[in-house]
Amino acid sequence: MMSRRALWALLRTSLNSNFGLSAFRYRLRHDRRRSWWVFLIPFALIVMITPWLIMLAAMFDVLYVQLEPLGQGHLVLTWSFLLGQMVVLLFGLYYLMSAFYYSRDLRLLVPLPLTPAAILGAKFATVLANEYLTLAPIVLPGVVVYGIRAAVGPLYWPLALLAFFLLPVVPLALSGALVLVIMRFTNIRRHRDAFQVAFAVVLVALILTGQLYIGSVLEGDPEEVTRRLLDDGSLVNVGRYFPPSVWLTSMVAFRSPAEFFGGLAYSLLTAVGGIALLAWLGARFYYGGLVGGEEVSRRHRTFSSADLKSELAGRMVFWALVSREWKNFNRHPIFLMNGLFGIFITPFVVVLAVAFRASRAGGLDALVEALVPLPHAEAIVAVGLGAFITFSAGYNTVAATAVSREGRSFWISRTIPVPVSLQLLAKMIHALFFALVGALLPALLAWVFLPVGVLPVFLGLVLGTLGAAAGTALGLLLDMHRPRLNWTDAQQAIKGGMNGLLVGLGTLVLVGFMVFLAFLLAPALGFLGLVILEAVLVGGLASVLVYILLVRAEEAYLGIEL
Amino acid sequence: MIKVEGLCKSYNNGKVKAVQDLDLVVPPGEIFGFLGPNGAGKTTTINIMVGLLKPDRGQVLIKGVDVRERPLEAKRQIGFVPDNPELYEGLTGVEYVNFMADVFEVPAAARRERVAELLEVFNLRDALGDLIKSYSRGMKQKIALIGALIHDPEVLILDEPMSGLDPRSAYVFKELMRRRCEAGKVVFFSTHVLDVAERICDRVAIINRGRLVAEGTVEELRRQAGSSATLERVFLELTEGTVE
Repeated sequence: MMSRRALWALLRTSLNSNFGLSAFRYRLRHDRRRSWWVFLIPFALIVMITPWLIMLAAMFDVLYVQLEPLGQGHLVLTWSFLLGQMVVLLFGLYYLMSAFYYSRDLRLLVPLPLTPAAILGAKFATVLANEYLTLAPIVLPGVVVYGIRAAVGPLYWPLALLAFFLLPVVPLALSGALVLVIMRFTNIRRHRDAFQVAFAVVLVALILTGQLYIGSVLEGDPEEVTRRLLDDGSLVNVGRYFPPSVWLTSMVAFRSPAEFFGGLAYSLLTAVGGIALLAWLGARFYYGGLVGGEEVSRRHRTFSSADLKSELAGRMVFWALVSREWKNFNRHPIFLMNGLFGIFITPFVVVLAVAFRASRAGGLDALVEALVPLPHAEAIVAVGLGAFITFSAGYNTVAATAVSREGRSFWISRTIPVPVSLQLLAKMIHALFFALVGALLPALLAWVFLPVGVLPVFLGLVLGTLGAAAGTALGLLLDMHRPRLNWTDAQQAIKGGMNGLLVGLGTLVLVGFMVFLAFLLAPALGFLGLVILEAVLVGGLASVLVYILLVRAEEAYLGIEL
Repeated sequence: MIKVEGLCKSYNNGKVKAVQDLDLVVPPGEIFGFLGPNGAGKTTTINIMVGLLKPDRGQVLIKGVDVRERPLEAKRQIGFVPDNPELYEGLTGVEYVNFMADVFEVPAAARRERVAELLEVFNLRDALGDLIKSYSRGMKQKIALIGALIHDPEVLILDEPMSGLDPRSAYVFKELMRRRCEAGKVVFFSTHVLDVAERICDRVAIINRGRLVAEGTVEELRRQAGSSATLERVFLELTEGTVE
């Protein structure tokens, strides 16, 4: 039996390492000059999640207005909790598998005199802490809408806070239990890359299905929406099959003491039960599934002289650098999936949503018919497409993590006889390639479905390319100055540095500027004049950013001490 | 070939002095061992020599080229392997070596010839097509050494090069270092294994708390401490005071 002090030390160290707290404190104390960005993060977070919060709050508000006359207003809370729990359940599988079986610090932890349950508990707590950050923007809108609309008593808010803390425990514990069983009794651990790719594909499919489903529930006139919501098999009724969200609702929005105590008891018992189940399974299965988890299959192919001749062909330095980026990125499932999510999934979901809504509102033809007579339809398409591509590129973490992804192998970049500016250009080409491939789908759809001719679409693509170049250069600039190289889990390289968030904020400002300028100047300049002006401005910004990137490259790399 | 002049490096706003006024000269054709206890400043010195760290003061010249003033020119002369090298895990061994050959602009024929020779030395032919993430620590060390030698550098700088190598590879590698020196090239390496330093180094330097405390041939250091003293005893006396 290990001491409570050891357990606490393990938990504290895991959280510290995950959030980089010591490193952050050290930088604040000893390198204040390079820590200015910290103050931007809350601002960036607010700006980035506000549109999402508003959208979700509006949706829950509509729901409440429909449901309240039927005495079902509390379903807003159920739905909100359920949405959060489903997100935790699905993403928890991915994050817990990574944390339980593939963290680099397991090599240090496993030989220590710690019980499997303790290591598992520390990892679980770390993922749980991350989940709270993800959950807040999902759950908060529904909770606030209900709190304002339903004229709740003073107990509502502390109980809602308690519900928020209990919310992810059960789904995450279930995900953890599933991960433990899968890893113990299957051979997945030896094929983790293939598994991660397959899982990400399934996740994308589920997200898209969910998107379509939510769209289908909410479309139509209010009575129709209400009918659908209260139908058996509707999303709200899914709560019957996963009741923790219903219990949490009973606890927060109780109509009688019995309902409150029932909800509270069920919620607490299932949370404790979930953790107990995880601890029980962990004590039995964890190490059994962990042994060999680091192994990677090898082919053992002997290289002949002919093989050497073909494999050791010379390339230009620049293409060797691009190839390095390409292979290191594409062969790492976590890097690839995060990149693809940002580049392909965001545009795909938006395009799908537009297409779906268009079909509900009388078909795409109706949407087009509404657009074409507008006085500046061509300008709307060109600037809209350009802004959309810029926006997608801003959410693409390929550039904003390009230096961080090198991790502890960064010493190679610093010791090869290649100018840093050339290395960064190779990173930029790689990131830009991804951004532009992602831009092709919306451009193609705009060209096929919008009868404005090829010129606005082409100019939109050009404008978007310039915006994407600005976003990419900004991402590289930030990551070059504050990379996270000491990651133990690849997710930390992507999310730990917050560079993606800051780039997202920057491109959001740029997109806002592009749209604002279009509203302001389209009548005066006309379609071509407006697009040319925007291209000059956005291109100018991209050029300035690339110039700063290349000029500051050597000095910035020299400032990165491993 | 290597000249280190008045090198100083501190951390934590000057509170921790990692290297203080270090001077070293390593002429062509020499194997130079850089010794010192943990935290003495060996890795910091090596990292400054290869351009990974910026010194507070002083300079490092490789074949007369200042590492800070003309870094690319200096780097072309250097082959470097850090302690416990982390490599690109998404690349196969052959892709990594080819990448290093590309960035050092090694002609195709020369790279094939060198790789074939080094694969025999390190017995790595079977693993060349596998991803580096499947390699053991020793295999990573070997592929990193092949990458460092692919451009036949004038100066080879290695931080604890023997730590991951099996006895056979360590033996062949020592032979390889000897051959390089006979060809007029320099090998500069840090080590904790004093036996290795004693047997293969032409000269050694001992650093302690960032300061150079001794430099010369093993024989010269022995003489300083008493004719029968081993390098180990000399090392302990210089780094920890008197040894009973």
